[in-house]
Amino acid sequence: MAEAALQTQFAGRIEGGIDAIVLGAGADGLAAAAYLGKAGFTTVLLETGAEIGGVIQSREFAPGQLCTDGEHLIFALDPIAIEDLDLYRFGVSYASRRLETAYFFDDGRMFPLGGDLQGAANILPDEDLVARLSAFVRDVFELAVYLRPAFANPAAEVLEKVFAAAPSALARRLLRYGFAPATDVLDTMLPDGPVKTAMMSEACFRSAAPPDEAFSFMNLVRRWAGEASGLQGANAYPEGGAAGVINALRRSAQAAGVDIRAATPIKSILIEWDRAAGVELEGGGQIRAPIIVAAQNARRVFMDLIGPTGIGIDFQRAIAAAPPKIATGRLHLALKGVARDEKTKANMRRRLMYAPRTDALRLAFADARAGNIPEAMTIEAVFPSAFDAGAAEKMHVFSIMAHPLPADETVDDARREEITKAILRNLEKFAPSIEQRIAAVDLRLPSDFADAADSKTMAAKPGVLRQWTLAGAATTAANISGLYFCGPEAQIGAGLSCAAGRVAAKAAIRSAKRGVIAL
Amino acid sequence: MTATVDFLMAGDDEACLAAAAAAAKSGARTALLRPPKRGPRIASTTHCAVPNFVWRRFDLHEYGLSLEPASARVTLTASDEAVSTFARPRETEETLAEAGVADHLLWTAFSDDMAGFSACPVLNGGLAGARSGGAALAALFRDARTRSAFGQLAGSCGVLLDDYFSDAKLKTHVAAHALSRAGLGGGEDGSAMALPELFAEDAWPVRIADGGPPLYETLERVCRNFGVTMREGRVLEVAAEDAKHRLVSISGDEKIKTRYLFFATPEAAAAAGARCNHSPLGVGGAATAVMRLTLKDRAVPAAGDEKAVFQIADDIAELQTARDEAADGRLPEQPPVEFEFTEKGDIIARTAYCPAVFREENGLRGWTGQDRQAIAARMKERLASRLEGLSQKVVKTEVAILGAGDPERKTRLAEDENIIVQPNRAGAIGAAVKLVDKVVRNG
Amino acid sequence: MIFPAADIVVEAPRATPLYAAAASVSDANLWTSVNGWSAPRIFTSVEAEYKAAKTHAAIADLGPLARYAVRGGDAAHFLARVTTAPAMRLKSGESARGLILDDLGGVIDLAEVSRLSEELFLLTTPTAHSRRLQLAARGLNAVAEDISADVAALGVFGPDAGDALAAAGLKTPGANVATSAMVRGVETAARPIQFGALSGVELIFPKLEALTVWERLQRRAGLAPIGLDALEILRIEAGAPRPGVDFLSAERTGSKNTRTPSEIGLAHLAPIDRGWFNGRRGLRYLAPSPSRGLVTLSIDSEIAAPGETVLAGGKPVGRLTSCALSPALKRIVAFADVSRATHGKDYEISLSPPDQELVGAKLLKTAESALASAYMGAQREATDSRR
Repeated sequence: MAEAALQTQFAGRIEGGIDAIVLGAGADGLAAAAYLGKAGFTTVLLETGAEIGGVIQSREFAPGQLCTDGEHLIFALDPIAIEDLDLYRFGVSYASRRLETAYFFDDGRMFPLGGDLQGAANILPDEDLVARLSAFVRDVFELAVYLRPAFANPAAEVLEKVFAAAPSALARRLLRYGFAPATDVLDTMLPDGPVKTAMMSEACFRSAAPPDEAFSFMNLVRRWAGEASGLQGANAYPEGGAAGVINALRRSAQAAGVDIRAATPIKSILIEWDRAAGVELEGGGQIRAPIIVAAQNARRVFMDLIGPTGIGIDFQRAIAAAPPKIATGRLHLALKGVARDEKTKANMRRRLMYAPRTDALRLAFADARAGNIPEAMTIEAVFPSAFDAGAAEKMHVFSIMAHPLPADETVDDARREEITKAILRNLEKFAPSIEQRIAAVDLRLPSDFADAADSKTMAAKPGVLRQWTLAGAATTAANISGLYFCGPEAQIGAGLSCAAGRVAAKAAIRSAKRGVIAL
Repeated sequence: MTATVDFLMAGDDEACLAAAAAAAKSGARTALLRPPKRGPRIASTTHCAVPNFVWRRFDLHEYGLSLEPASARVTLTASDEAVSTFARPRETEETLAEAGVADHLLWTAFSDDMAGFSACPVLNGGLAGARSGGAALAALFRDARTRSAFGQLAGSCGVLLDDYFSDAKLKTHVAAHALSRAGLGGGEDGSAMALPELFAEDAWPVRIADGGPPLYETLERVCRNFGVTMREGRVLEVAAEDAKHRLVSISGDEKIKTRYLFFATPEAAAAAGARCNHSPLGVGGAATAVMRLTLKDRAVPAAGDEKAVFQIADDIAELQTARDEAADGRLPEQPPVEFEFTEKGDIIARTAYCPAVFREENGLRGWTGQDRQAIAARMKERLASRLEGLSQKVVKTEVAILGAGDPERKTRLAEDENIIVQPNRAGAIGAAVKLVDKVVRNG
Repeated sequence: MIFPAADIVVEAPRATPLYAAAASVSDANLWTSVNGWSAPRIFTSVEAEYKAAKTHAAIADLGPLARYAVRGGDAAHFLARVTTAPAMRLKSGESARGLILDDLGGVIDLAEVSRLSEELFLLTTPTAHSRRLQLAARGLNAVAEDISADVAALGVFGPDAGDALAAAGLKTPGANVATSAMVRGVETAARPIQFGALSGVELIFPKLEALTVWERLQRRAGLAPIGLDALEILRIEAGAPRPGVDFLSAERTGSKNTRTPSEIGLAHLAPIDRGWFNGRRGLRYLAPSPSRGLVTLSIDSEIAAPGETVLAGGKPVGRLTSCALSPALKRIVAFADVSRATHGKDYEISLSPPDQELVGAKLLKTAESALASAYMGAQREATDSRR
């Protein structure tokens, strides 16, 4: 009530004295705001929802049981942003920084791979396999590191420069990996067996490109370009889950003097003479600023907040391209009873991955794309309660990502039930009889986040080459001077990254310093 | 004794022959390696286009060859429904308008746009044999128009068609003609790259005019006249001989030292275990079934005439389903079928939606006689669903499987700058000759 | 309105609604194809047709041009987006010229927009743009319907155009305002247009009435028809560049050959300081400063052909893009695409064999170039006063 009254009171008010407005308080929005604040810009961060964090939200999904939507591991958090924004000082800490992955297969076998992939192969029993896996990891890592600037900033001029400057061996590899199906590269580089199956699942995880179709291998290169706690290709569990990173970003932004305003819906972005001029609030009133960093999805920013009459016709076609028909599901389980035996306890402190056979995985993509719930799917699971100090004694929370699933626009209860069952069936492959211990189930699908600014975070990413073209278009921000875009379309690959936010904010700061934007 | 050549062309189709002839004519030492046991060819009357520049380069008229453009591209979407398009956009536009297709006014723009896309460096074997992969990729991002074209081509054929048209039958028609040669689905990323192939200059399919010599034999003669060495054998292994040359082991314990090992079509490459790495058009590892039906009297389709190229497909999703089934190592339940009539009225039908190898409970297996019969039966069933009374007219059925895989063979040749695979299928002849030109120029 | 380049591949052109009428009075019987429609090149003689239009009035079949009826609540927004014409500011009955640009500011085509009522506009373009209009309408309440094949259109050009229309019993539009009227129970629209420097009137009416209207103009007003060849002279004299001849559509050519409005001498049709249009940001932020530009020349010769080299100070600086022999000037008038740095200098044209000689050429002041320089002058003044 009070809020409504306040809004009426301020309707028609024009707020000035602000240098930069950031739209959307997801990870990228927070990072961008922190950068701008640190650079001395008077910055306001506006978030439609009541909470910050975008798709990453902690909530109680069962009495006393907390879960985190969005991400559950860190593998691509931008190292430059960590340093620039002092994220360690603001509270990023890792409960486990070199998560070993235990891969499970449909024949009941399991094999663990150390968190440090470059040395991980050495524990394998077979010498030939050690050599081939090491060579494979080395090849992919080398290209991945080289491509980091192109993954962080998909602007066409950056891509062109990075590609053109590639030394010939890397360039050849880039061409091959860029277009090739994962099956093609992996069949050439690794012998049949669990290692190859595991890598196949890694390559296709959270990607819309099926293992045997073009562009699918590059997703692995993207994933391994990321690092966690300074280790390339690793996974880490942050203290407090991904929400812990969001909190650190928030603190960093606040320390930089950013004015964070949640529950502030925007009606439109004001464009005057091809320059960003501010925003109009839903309740009336304007906030004016020469810099706007948009960290919401492209459709929302350009079609809703600016509208077709304010953006180029060719640009509109590019950003309105149909999203992939593949999605990732998030399942949280509250499990009764606490593991006592050491083997289980050890497993609980690992990243668990169920890697279906390649033919089953291929079929799963075909099914999901056709709108059906696949039989088999890749499962990535962790036990946040095994990492977080002070987690419940009597229950464990099991955090699961399942891929691929169909990208339904709406999901009814029956469908939800069916999807949950399908995920549990795959989970049973490595956690038999888990169903009897389930005290609470919670399934989140991309369609549940339709209102969230960065709902597309949970949609699968197209092949990297295609993402580059789409992101390259979106980050031009329709050539509106003073407008910078770092929504989900600007990020190459999945995961909590902040690189897009950093790039957008830095570009804004550069332009302001050069006088392109008058403050 | 090891022979040394500049180009070793491996394969057994018209595009391989054209590529070999082009290389030899440019002065390169060229050998053509064809499989030792070649089954009977089911000679197609309609071919992918023979561009004018290829015709002129080889002076094909001197060989008595005469080609005529196919009369139309027709898709029989149901027993009594068809979509036809023609070489001339306006004729298509008018036909579509008559048929009540709301999108007819967009046709010319669509075909112009697709023809324009064919200049995108990613197409026409553009990145194959590139001396510097990085520069080739960088070129795709250099200017906004190329970038936009590449962005659209890197998506799926279905999405690109949705962006232009609303008529489901028209979309099925275009997708079927674009994708059926490569056996691709309409939903997979990169399948949009097959569209410009249909609309590029010189891309319209041609038929051997009545009474002329088959194209294959003609190109064989061209190769001999230009001094191409004809060999028989299979590529077994490729080793790096030195920085510039590869040593190719072929069946019969022989070795050939070559500057380039060149595959003019993805099928030819697949037979040697090589894949095209830089184009989604080349990735499909599927086999193609070709069938000739000898008829006692002529079958009459609901639309088009005997000089048209036909497709049978119910809808665009059917292509993806068939592709998924083939990739899964099964025969498609409903294979999309391409067919044409010979001058005698026989039917030559093909489907590229066949698995290279079959997947069963206990592993992979190769093609058997039963599989051949099964795919022939399914293809015939589909033809009969569109051509009234066909089943009673068939007097003889021949089937050949191209690109069948070997379940035992695991080794794969990775494409490098000396192993070149031309990815296009519909415009394979022109694309192969252009690619040879590029390699000759670069090397 | 300007005709686009004639079709390169001529495939049995369609007959416009006025074809039969035009064919019956064509002595020369010389035709070409434009947008797939047949278009008369010469009726009697180029010179006679040219003179009639200059001194009296002439009628032309405008059927080959593309026409769209644009409807919907956002129709004005839509047209203001897809063309540079100030569609939002047009009152009912008003028309405006503009350009169609791509996002980067490259010229795709010319356009003419008329507002017929609050939510109904008429868009005329030299070539068809169904795809672009489809894309531009997304997210807007506007539909562009291609009516090219449903209507007949003819133009009456020349100083006596108004009198001629009155003589034919057709209502004349005001100086700037389109009118509609009933002719024998059929709805027709008349709007003022410009063909190059010649002002005139365009009549648009249902195609079934084509012959009636044409005949009335011929019989009652005694107007002679004019073909494309004579119109070409009038066009060059007026300084109006022809799409596909003097510049290529940005949609169909590489970046190297894309031209901005100022490079084709039409900066005044895409003013970046007025309303929003597609490509404005491209012009403002992305377009490099123009290095080439189209100029109109009068050449001291009675022969010259497109493609011939233009020299300045003895150095090649460009080439001729279109030429016509002007009966009034007794010399060739031409468009040339030349390096920007040489603008204002005297040029020479190197004629191809067999003539193989150098002839002088001077900048020709045209109606269009006057508008362009007035606009550029105003721009400069605005910039100066800001400083």
